[in-house]
Amino acid sequence: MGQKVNPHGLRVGVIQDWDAKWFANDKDFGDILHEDLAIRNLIDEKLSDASVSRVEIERAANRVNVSIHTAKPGMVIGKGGSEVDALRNELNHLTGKRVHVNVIEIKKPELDAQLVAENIAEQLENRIAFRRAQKQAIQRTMRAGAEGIRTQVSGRLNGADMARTEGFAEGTVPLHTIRADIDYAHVEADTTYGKLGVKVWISKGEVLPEVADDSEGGK
Amino acid sequence: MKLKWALTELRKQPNEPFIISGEADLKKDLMKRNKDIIDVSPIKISGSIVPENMDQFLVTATLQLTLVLPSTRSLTPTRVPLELPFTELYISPDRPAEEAEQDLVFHLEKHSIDLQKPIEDTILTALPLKVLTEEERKSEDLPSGNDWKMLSEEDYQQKRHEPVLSERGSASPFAVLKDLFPETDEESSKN
Repeated sequence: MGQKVNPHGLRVGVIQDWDAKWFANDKDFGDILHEDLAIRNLIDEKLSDASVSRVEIERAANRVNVSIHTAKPGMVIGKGGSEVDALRNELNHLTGKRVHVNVIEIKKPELDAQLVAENIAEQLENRIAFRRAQKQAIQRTMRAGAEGIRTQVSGRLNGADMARTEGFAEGTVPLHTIRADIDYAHVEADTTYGKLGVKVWISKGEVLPEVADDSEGGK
Repeated sequence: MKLKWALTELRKQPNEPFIISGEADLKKDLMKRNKDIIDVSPIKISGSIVPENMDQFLVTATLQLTLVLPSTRSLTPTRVPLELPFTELYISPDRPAEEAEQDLVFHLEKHSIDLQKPIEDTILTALPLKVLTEEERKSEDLPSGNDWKMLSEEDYQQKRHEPVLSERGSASPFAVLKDLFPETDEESSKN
């Protein structure tokens, strides 16, 4: 079997950005890293139904900026901001620092691999045929303007005795092209027959390099 | 409206389309399968079933309905009209099940076609991932509060890339580090 590199990891620092941005010396590094993990776990747990795709954490001095990318900002914010205030208080308590929360509404959820994979997993849990769920997700993503999509579902498909893997693809997903903006996600669906793994790759086209800025203080 | 037909009934007129038309109320079942759905109108179904070679049946139809879903931005109940194409191929139980292992071909377990579950599945897979009210679509005002803010993806990207102005007013890339050691700054100003 071929060894697969995570498409996101391969592109970090080239065309994709880091999910955590901060500096710490050797003494504090471990503590801050664990604090980041605790923040992410808390958000995953509290906002499991809120279609959260990414959580970015930035730190400066005694302040933490948490940016939550979501397709359902209404569920993150709650009525009159009640949910986000409660979340912010918990994060303040967890970190002992002042936490600022940015809720970022995803413009096209159909082009986000995490959300598409979660959607397929939810449909599998609702006993929808795995081929129908994948085909529909592919159509929707292509209609939203993707260059290509690949989906894969593994496990006891339709409750079969023997586990297998089935996938569909449309368009192009050039995994070896580093400048190709490829989003990838892996989600698990809990069905009555056990877990099914859902993998989604979405290609959004190529990211062209920016022209270098030679002026003083340029990028 | 009836959504189940025996294969013998469909075979009476070989290669002639069997017209299906009417309204079906699947509100209870759809709401049971997806907790986000607030309300569902009766579903208008119009199309046909074409028996091909007596052992496979091509179903083509259009589904028209209006759903009420919570807005993804404010949770306000929002009407979402949907018009969905429905095309599926079924093969009779007399044919080997392996033939249905490619693409969207469904192997019938009984000598009848029941469209209720496939229609429900089609609607549930087509639920939009983003639902906005008419006002939310037009408005660009996003809520904010004490130490939290809602942003669009464009605003967020713009904010990340805009240079921070230093005290002298120049766009220095190091101006963001201004607050990193506030105590040190105070001490040095005293000295």
